[in-house]
Amino acid sequence: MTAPGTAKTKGVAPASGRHPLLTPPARRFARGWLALAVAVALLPLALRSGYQFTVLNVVAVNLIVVTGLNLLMGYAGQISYGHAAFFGMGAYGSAILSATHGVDPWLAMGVSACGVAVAAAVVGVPTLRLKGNYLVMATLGFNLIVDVILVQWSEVTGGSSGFVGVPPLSVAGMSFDTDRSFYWLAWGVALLLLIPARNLVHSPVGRALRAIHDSEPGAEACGVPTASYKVQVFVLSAVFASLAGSLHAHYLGIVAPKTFDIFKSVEFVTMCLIGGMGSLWGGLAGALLLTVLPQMLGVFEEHHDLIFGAILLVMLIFMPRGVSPWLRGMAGRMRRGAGVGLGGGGAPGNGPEGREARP
Amino acid sequence: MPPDAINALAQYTVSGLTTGSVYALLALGYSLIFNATGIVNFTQGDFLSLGGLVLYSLLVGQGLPIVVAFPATIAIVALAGALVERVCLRPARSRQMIILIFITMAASTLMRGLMKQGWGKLPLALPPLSPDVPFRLMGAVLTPQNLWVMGMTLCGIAALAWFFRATVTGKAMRAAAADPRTARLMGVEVERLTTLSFAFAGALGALGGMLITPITSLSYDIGLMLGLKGFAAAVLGGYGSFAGAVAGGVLLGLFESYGAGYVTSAYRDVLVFGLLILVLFVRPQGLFGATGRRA
Repeated sequence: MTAPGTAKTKGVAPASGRHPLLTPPARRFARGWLALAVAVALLPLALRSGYQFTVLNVVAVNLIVVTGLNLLMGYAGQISYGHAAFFGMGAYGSAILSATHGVDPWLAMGVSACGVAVAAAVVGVPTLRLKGNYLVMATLGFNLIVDVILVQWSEVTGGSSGFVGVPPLSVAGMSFDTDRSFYWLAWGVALLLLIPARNLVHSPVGRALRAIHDSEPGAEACGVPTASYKVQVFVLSAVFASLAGSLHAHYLGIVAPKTFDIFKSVEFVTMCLIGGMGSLWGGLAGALLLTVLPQMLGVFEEHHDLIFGAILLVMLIFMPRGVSPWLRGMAGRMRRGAGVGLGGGGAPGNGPEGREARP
Repeated sequence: MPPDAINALAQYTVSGLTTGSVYALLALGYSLIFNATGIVNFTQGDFLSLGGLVLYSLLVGQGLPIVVAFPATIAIVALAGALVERVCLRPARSRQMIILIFITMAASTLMRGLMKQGWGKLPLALPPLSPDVPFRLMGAVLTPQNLWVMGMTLCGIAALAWFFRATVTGKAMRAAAADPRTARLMGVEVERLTTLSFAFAGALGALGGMLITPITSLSYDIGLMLGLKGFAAAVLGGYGSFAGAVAGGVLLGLFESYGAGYVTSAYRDVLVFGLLILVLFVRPQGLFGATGRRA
C-alpha cells in the first residue's frame, strides 16, 4: 500500500511515482467519508429545534480536536492532558484579535493557529522528551498555567467572567451566526480535516508514528527521527485544537476560561478513549457520545457527576478498546451485505488499538 | 533585615511547611500506588476530601470524641481506597496504563459525585484538633493546628518508614515494587499487597484531609487542586521515591508560599507548575528519581 490518492490531499501524501486512483483502503475511507457527508447534509431535515443544532455544532467542534488528538495519542502514543489549553489559545486568540483589534475573523483564526503552532513547538520540544507520568504532569501543568493566565490577565482576556462580543465568521456577506448556518461551517471543516488526518495516518510518516507507539528505541533504530516526529505531530494536533477553538469563539460570541480548564482536556482524551484510540471513526463516535450524553444527563443536574462518572467507569472497565471495534465489525457486515459502509479510518489488523501494554 | 521582613519570612515559612506537609502526604500516596501498579491514581485528592468529610460527620454529626473519630476516619477512608482497587481496577479488562489511569479519573468523578450527594455542595466547618489559640514564634503567628499538621505528618512518615523497613509485609511490598514477578515466585501475594497499597494511600489522604481542612475549608471538591499539587510534588521529587515525595512536597509548599508572598499571589499556580515544568526539563526524572525507572 503506497500513497493514498484520495482527492484533495493537503500535501501530506508522499510524492509517489505511480498513482492508482484510489487504493482499496482509501476507497473504503472515501466511502465512509461520503456516507458521513451525506448524513451530515441530510440530518438538518430531521432536526426540529435550534438546540439540536447547537449540540451537533459542539460535536463537530469537539470532533476537530479529537481528530488531532487521536493522531498524537492513538497513533504516536503520546499522552496530552493539555489540549484544552491549545483549544483555549485558539479561542482567545481569535476573540482578542477580532474583537479588540478589529482583525478579520478568518485572519484572526489563521494567526491564532500559527501562534499556537509556535507555542506547541516551544512546549513540545522539551515536554515530549518526558515519559509516562512525567509527561502527564507536564501537560497538565501547562494547561493549569494557561488556565490561570486566562483568568488573571483580566484586562486582556476579560477574566473569569469571560470575553464577550466576538464577531461571527462570514463568507461573502453571509455570516455564520445562527445555529443552522454554523452547522454547515463546523461540519464542513470537521469533514475536511478528516482527510489530511487520514492521509497522514496512511503515509510513511503515519507508519513511523505507529512504530514510535510500539517502541521508541526500535523506531529510532529503524531510522525514524522520533524526537522531531513527535514534536511535529504534537504541533499538528495543537493546530487542530486551535482551529476548533477559533470556531467555538466565533460561533458563541463569548469565551469563558472555564471551557478550557484541565477537565476539558480530560474530556477530549476521554472522547479518544471511548471512541477507540487509533481510529478516526472511533473519534467521531467518542465525540458524539460524550457530547450528547452529558446533554441528556443535564436532566439530572445535581446527579450529573455521579451518573457520568459511573457510566465512564463501567465503559472503561468493560470496553477498554472503546466503541470502534464494534463500528469496525458493523462496517464489515454492512460491506459484505450492501457493499457500502464505514471503515479504513484505523489500520485494520495492525492498528495500535490491538496492543496491550504489559502489566 | 528589618523586623517586618523577618516576620513575613517566618510567616511564609510556616504556611509553606504546613501545606508542604500535606503535599508530602499526598505525594507519598501517589508513590505507594505507583510502586504497586505503575499508574497515577487520580482519586488521591478525593481521599483527602473524604477524610475531612468523614471526620466532620463523626465529630460533629455523631459527637464522637476526637481520639475515636480520628483513627476511625483513617480506617474508613483506607477501606474506600481498597474498594477503589478491588471494584474499579481489579476487574478492568485492559492492563494498558492509559486505560487504568483513566479508570482512576472516572472513579474520581464518581467519588466527587457521591460526596456531593452525601455532604452537599456548601462548605462545612471542621473544628481544629485542639482549641484555636494563636501564638507567636520567631515573629510568625502560629495556630496549634499548624503544629498538628507538621507533627502528625512526621509521625505518619515515621510510621510508614518503620513499616517498610521492619515488617515482613512492608519488605514484601518493597520486593513487589522492585520486581513483581520475582516477588510472586518467592511467595509474595502481589495482588493483596496492591490492595493494601491503595488502603495505605487512602489512609495518607485521610490524614492530610483531617489535618488541612480545618485551615483551608471543607467541601467535596477541596481535594481536587490539593491532589494535583500532591501529584506535582511526587513528580518534582521523583515519582515512586519516598524520600523524593517528602522532599518534593516540602519544597513545593515552601516555593508556593514564598512565591505567593513575595512575587504574585494571583499567579501562584503559574509559578508552582512553571517551576515543576522547568525542573522536568533539566531533570526529566525529577529531583531524586533514579534514571531508568519504569516511569
